[in-house]
Amino acid sequence: MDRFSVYVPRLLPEAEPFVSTLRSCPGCGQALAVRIIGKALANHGRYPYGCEAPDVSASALPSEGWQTFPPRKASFAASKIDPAKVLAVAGESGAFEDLFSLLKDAQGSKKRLFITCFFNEAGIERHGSKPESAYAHDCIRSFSERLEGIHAILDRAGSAQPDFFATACASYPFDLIGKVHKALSCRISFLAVFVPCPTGCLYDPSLGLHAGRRAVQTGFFPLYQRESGTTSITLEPGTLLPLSAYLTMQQAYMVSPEETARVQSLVTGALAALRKKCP
Amino acid sequence: MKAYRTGDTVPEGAYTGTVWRDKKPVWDRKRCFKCGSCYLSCPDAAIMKVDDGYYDMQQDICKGCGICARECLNDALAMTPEGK
Repeated sequence: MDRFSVYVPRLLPEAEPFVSTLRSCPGCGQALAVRIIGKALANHGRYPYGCEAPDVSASALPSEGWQTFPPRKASFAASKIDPAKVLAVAGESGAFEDLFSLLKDAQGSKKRLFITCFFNEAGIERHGSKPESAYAHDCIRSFSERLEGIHAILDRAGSAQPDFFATACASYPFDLIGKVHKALSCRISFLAVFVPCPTGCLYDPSLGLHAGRRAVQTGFFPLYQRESGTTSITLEPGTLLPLSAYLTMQQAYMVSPEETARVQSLVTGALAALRKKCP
Repeated sequence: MKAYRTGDTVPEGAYTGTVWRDKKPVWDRKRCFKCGSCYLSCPDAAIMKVDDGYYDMQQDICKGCGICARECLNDALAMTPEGK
């Protein structure tokens, strides 16, 4: 590593649109991702900001100028606000349907839309607004099911043919920032962000970013982008780490050799399909 | 005590980061070369730049997750039990 590249964090804008809340868990990857996205947007004007689950854990609202509302109302805001560039943010469970509707509606209009969808590792949901459950797992029984769910959502979002489609991870902040800037230059953008979840996966909160890196380095969540029909892998993992390096970090789900083999076959297949699309 | 961001008066330790954490990050300035990795990696924006470009944590925001200490490139951060 170039000896001066370690100082790159100091080049980021000092503006901190992020407002921490006590609702997010210690080490919450989603809160970090929202913060990094907020920093990337800091000098790019103000946007109406529609969000669902992320607003429970953190908020990227600066002190003035932004509004927050559910994604299903974001398209309404887009029609009323000029320039109609709307940022919609949500998790990938229930709110994804709203995001997908926004994505499809934007295709047939002149709206400019930037959608960010968060994938946390174990699918733990925060229902802070619901009195009956503060935390609930999405009833995911295995990592293979989790990965199949992620692939299904990415395929669905990709089928809507946004101008810019990319995956990112909170553990690679500069890749995430670069993709946010790229997304702002395109009319319709979809950014899928993988965020570590120490609470959901039951590992030490200090290992949050490490878990995200492992997810990328094992091929579980590759980082790539598709712009104007051209797909490219933005962070080539090189020699992939064994999947066990990532799966065994967590304590929430039992990982058997059979399960590891299932996930490995999914990862291998997905990576091969991705490399085929790259020129 | 005063909440850092808003300046509101709050009871000591009430509903602030102090309630959450049992460890807090402490910087060793002899090892810190001010790269900013800790600042960037904090999920709560609880690390701020102080005098001479060094960093410190904000008492009423830091939850003591330890990501900053883990991400430090030169082991300049140690998670110290609260109250010490």
